[in-house]
Amino acid sequence: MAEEQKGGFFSDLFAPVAGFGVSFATMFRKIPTEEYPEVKWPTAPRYHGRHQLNRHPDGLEKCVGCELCAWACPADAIFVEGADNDDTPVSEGGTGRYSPGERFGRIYQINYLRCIFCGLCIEACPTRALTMTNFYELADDNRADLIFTKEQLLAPLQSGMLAPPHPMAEGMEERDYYLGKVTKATDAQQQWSDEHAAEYTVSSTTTSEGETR
Amino acid sequence: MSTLLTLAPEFASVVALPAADVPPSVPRADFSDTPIWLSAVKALLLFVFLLLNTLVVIWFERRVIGRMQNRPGPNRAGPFGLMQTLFDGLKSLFKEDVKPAAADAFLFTLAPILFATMAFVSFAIIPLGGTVNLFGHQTPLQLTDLSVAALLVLAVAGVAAYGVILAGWSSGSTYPLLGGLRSTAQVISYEIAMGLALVAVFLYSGSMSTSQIVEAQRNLWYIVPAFISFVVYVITMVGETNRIPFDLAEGEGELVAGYHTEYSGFRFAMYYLGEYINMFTVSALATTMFLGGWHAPLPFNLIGDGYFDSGWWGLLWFTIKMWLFMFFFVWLRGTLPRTRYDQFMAFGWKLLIPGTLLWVMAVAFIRGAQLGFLGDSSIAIAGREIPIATLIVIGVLLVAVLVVLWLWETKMTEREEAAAKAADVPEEIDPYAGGYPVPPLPGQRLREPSTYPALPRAGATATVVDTPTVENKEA
Amino acid sequence: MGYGIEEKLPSGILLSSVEEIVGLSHKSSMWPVTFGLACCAIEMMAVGGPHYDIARFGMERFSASPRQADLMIVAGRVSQKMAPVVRQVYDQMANPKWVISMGVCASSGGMFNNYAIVQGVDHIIPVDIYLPGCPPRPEMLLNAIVQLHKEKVRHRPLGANRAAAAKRAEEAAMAAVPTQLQPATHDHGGYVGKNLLA
Repeated sequence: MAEEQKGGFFSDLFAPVAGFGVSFATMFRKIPTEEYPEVKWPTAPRYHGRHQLNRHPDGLEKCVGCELCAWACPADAIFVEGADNDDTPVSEGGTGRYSPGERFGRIYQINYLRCIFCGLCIEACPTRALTMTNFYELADDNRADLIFTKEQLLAPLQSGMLAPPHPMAEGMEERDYYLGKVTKATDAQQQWSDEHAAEYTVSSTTTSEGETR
Repeated sequence: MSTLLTLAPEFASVVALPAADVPPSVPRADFSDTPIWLSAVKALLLFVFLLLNTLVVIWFERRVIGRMQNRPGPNRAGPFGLMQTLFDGLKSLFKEDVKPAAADAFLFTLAPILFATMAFVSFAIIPLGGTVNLFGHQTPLQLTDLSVAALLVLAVAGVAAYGVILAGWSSGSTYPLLGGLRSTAQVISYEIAMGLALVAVFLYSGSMSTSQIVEAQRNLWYIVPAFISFVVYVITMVGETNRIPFDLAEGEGELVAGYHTEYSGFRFAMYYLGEYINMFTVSALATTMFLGGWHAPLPFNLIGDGYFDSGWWGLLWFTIKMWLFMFFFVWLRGTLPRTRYDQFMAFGWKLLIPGTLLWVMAVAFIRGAQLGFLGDSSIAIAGREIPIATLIVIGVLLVAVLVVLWLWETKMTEREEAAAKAADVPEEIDPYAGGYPVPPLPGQRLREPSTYPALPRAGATATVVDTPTVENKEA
Repeated sequence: MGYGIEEKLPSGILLSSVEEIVGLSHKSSMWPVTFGLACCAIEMMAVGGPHYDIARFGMERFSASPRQADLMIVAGRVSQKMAPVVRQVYDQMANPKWVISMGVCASSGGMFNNYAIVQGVDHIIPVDIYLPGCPPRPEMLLNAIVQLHKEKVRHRPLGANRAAAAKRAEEAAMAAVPTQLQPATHDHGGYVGKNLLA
């Protein structure tokens, strides 16, 4: 009571009804509303939106199937199953190459009805394969459609990228990919990919079996 | 303090009001040239007028409240969201009409019908405009007029309270019952103050017929000589219509949705409609009683020998004035939170009713002096003849007001001093002095307990001693 | 009690146009029932604020009484103890009614995979739209509402059409195979994902 500042005669007189002035004056202020479905304001750059599985510049996947993200997940929303991969095509008894590493993520699923968008998976990822986008419009009318699979999570192919499987760029090792020495798919990779195209349109579906957990 | 200060100019204007200004008998509305079929047409037009107004006012309310809260409000249904109310109504129509198993089937349906129809009835006696030519007949823009028209509004409001209490009772559920009782108590309590506030107007106009009251305000609106009545009426009309800040019957926190908790679909829509029509009714009555009804406001009534002050123009002025009250309702809702129920009732019974009673007595004396009941001698001030008795009455009233003000100020000062004294916190506190552990107030120091285990101290009860108090040592 | 004349119309152009009007009015005036259970409720309140303003959709009248509500936004985790209450409030709502399961806790239990929390509110009440997020940002809720309007409210079959729709759903349910035998819900044909950066 004692700290209340003493106004003049008129401010004392109208103090009990000052709120009316506030609400009246607010009517003439500019409206800050985002007219959502028509106008979408960008989120903060660091906003935790939908995940994305990144690629190396030649199109190979960064994910090495280590499952660290799945282990870090507090909500058990991530399911990863790794598999070996090598440069030998399927027709010659190998597996084909999806990531520069020894292994790759054969199955990768994120259940968006469990995921709390905390970002611990991003922190856990040793290859920066998993990052988050700013995309947030995820509502759907059934639970099954909100389990996102590897195909949905993988980043789209940019120019210079080549859809795996294909061997590593010639003369490069796994570590060279992280040193930034690979900048785009080489002609040899392109040639390999063309040769084995028929073989892998089939095998690409086999890699995503076990979708229905 | 502020209300009393505003009294001063008000009294001055009463002094300036010569007795001759209000003729003892002003003409009533003339219905001699109004056949029955024309009355039916007028009733239909009135109904349409009110429905259209309701359609607009709900949209208006939501938009204006939106703007008061710095947001746009409904703007997606139709242009500017104008179709919003229509869609609300349609949706209610298409919704399942739930009737609880425990409900009384007949009364459950009757209650909303009663509420909605009663809301329309009061409008029959409201003069919407001057005399106009309607289908070749000279007829006033008013459905009907009675010599006790103003009382009809109060009576109808009383009947509408049945719609509320029956809804509460017939729902067969606890919350509606409590909400209905609350709402009825509220409506009845505030109707007393409302009726008393109108008595001052009746005293000034010498009539209860709405058309006569409007006609008597041709030169001076009663908001000036009966300002206190106007303030009381505005407060009570909010209480009467169950609107924020007096919408205690619908307090979500304690009563879910009050008397219409169990209502859905079209039955609920009727309550929704009735509530807004009620707002229009009380606004229209306020316009009629205090703001000169359909008469043009000041600059316009002087133009063209009263051209804007007659006929259809009256409808425009009336609508504008009524909508000013509607805006006030919305403004209240955008500004004030809900009051507490006991405070609300105390305000009505302890302040509004006795205050209005005193005010009505004062008006009676002023009026009596004006009409020459207290002596005929008069004095000329600034060229106007003013009865001496009027001046004496007003002088006595002013003195009485000043005395009351002085007493009140003294009492408030005493109370403040007492509060300041009570608020003085002693520097030290014995946490167990009263037998219960008491935390220290800010700025207070705890007195260290002398020994452990706790020994009986002054004022400590035996139970404290029995239980070993480890907290004491820690404190 | 029950439905009105629109339920008794024969299927045809008339019924379709009635469906159109009914859908439009439900879409334009959908009153949610106040059902905040946890942190998601804070975001739900934020949607009512000036920044997002749910009033634009005519939805600012959060109905305290379930009888007058059209939409239940289950905002937050549903504990086992709360489950019967959720169900009761849902049952008290008058038809037609919709449910948005807001946030991962309501949708699947979220990170609370334990004995105390219902693992998805669809164990108790039928859910129309699932909304991920923990909690979802206000735009996500608005997105869910827009989706609900588009998918479930706007063209809700009535009368004869609804009977036909119910029959179709029944037949589909009878013919359904167990989940693990169902074909994958997504297009797994290629590695071409959606362009998320667009």
